[in-house]
Amino acid sequence: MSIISLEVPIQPYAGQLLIINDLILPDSGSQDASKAKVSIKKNQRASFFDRSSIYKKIMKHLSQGNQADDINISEQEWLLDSFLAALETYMKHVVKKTIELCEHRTSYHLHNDERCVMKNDMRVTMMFLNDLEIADYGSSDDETGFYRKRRAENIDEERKVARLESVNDTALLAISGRKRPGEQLAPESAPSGSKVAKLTGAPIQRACAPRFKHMNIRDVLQFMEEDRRYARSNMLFEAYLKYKS
Amino acid sequence: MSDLFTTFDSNGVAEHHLHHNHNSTSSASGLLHDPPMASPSQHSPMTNNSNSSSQNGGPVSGLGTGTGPISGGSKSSNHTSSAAGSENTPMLTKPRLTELVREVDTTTQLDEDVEELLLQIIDDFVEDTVKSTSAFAKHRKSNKIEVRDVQLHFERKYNMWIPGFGTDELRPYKRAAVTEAHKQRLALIRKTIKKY
Repeated sequence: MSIISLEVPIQPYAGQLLIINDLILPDSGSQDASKAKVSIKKNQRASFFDRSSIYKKIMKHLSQGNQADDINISEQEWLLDSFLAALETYMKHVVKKTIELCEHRTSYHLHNDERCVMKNDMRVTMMFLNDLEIADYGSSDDETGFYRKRRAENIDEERKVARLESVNDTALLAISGRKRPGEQLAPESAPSGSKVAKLTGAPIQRACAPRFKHMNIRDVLQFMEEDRRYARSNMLFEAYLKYKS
Repeated sequence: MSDLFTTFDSNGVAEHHLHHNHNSTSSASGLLHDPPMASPSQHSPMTNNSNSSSQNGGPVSGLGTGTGPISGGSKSSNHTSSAAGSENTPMLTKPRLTELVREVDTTTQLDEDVEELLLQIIDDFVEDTVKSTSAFAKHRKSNKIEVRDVQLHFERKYNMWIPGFGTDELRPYKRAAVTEAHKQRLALIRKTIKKY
């Protein structure tokens, strides 16, 4: 068939250009696992997404629209490869944008910026006020449910904090973050004197403690609000109703 | 004496709250166990199709039987669950999503709500792509979806270029028409540079 120029009235694209390269691929271990799973076709590349389920999903959507009889898929492998590549690239783009919003919301980079000095540590103040509230509860004669609920919430928060700390420790062990302070301290301590060592102590401590980014639902909602594809979509409205309660 | 009695009551109530928290923790762990089953069930209301709900019944029981006896490594359990629920397995499970996010940034952690919403975005991406590519195929008066349909959709809707797949006729960068005056200016600049 001769190729005819297309004039399809669709929504103009929005956003930055996404050239599909440097795809996110699983580790070699998961690649071996995926190879073991799909022993029939060994040439398929590893991916975070399930290839067969994507194909079934496509066929399901086609059948729902009563298009299975009319529409077929040619060059199945090639089509799936291109689809997977696009899906991974788009997912990477979404995650990066959301992480940027999370960093902006939490002022992530200011903690390691030497030009900034922390004057009011809200975390310490809030912890002090929580402890003060618990002490007031112990010495108060009021038996209303407010203090009990608050105490229960505090206990729940403490458990969450403990859980997060254990998760952080596991992550630190996984990425071997604890080896970095030793490597950084050794070359700097030899040439420097006592004053220089004291001065360089603070930034070393900052560099030794990587801060984790706890991505919140607000970050994803912010991404959807700023993106033209989702700004006026039903998905965003449903997300408002579900998560912003 | 009355003060001591009230103190005991408050402690008892506190213990009850502790027990309640323990129950909530166990229910939370149950919810953590449920996510692979929850995602297809959450997807079914959006499609509003009874067939999908009947299809979703299978993977739930399959996943239940698969994960029950296995308590060892996660790889084996994932393999069994994927093998058991191969009919309607999700495109991306929450552990895989977490792994993907770790590949992008190792210091990022996700909440459950964030994971759910990201999975919805993926489903929306796939659905939109399928609809548009089938529309393009129909517009071409063809009954086959080809790679160029997918390429055109990604280029127009998502500003995304897929190199190395399909035809090379669609290119991301188009050369602007170079005027004769501009060519002469460039030639003059080159001569000037050569002199120095």
